[in-house]
Amino acid sequence: MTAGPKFVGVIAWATLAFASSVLLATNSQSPRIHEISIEKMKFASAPANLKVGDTIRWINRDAVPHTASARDRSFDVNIPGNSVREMKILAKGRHEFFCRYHPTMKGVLSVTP
Amino acid sequence: MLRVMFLGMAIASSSLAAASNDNASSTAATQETSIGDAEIAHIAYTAGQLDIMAAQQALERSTNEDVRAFAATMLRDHKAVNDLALALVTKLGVTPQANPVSQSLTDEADAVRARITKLSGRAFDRAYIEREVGFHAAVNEALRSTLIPAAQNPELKDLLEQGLALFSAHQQHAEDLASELQ
Repeated sequence: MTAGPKFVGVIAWATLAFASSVLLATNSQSPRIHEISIEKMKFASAPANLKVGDTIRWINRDAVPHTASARDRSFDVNIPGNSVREMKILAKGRHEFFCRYHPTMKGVLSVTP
Repeated sequence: MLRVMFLGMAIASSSLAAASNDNASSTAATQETSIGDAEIAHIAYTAGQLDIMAAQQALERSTNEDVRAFAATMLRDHKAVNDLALALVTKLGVTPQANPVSQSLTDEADAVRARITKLSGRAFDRAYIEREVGFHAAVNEALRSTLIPAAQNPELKDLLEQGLALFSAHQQHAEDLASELQ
């Protein structure tokens, strides 16, 4: 007994749909890298879709050192002048941060689980 | 070379007024000054060096944690910018030229440093921070209205613009500290 063309088509469609859903699920859960630049004494706006496990790549384009320091102390990154530092996001929630050297520089990371 | 009107060493007289009760008549005269990149570089570098010296004085005399942190930032930032300035003038083959503005800045800063070194504790902290507010306000105004527009070399102009952003943050930081010390 052989499968008819209609049955084969259904199997192919189901396989494709399953593969797509796996791929989407994988993509939505894979840690991502987000860049936040610092230039002329300002943090660029943080991306909106941050998740626990993602990485923030801080890019300091100023000549002077900065820090990205969470007010809730969940992170504190030193970023020398004209350099790049990365940190993994470990906690969900709304994390206000600032530069310890230049307290007028501020930003917010909003992180979902 | 661009000819500009300097309002009587405006940088020095207004920058240090907050911390100095000295008569500013010596700096009140209006004069016309030729200013080119060599003079601009000297003014910017001198301003940085003077603030480094002020920060060193604060680190020697103050025990206030916030004031010391501010002074440490001034030391670190102005050194970084001046290192860039030195590298740039070397690359461009420009020899910074002493001029009346940088000399006036130096004279006024010397006077204030001598005056506030007699102070201690909270009085010193307030005098130092008020000096920082006035100094940065005046230097920023000079950068914005005179030095950046007059700079001819694009790299020098860019460095001055970076300096303006940095020193504006310093000014705001100093103003916040001054409020806390009231």
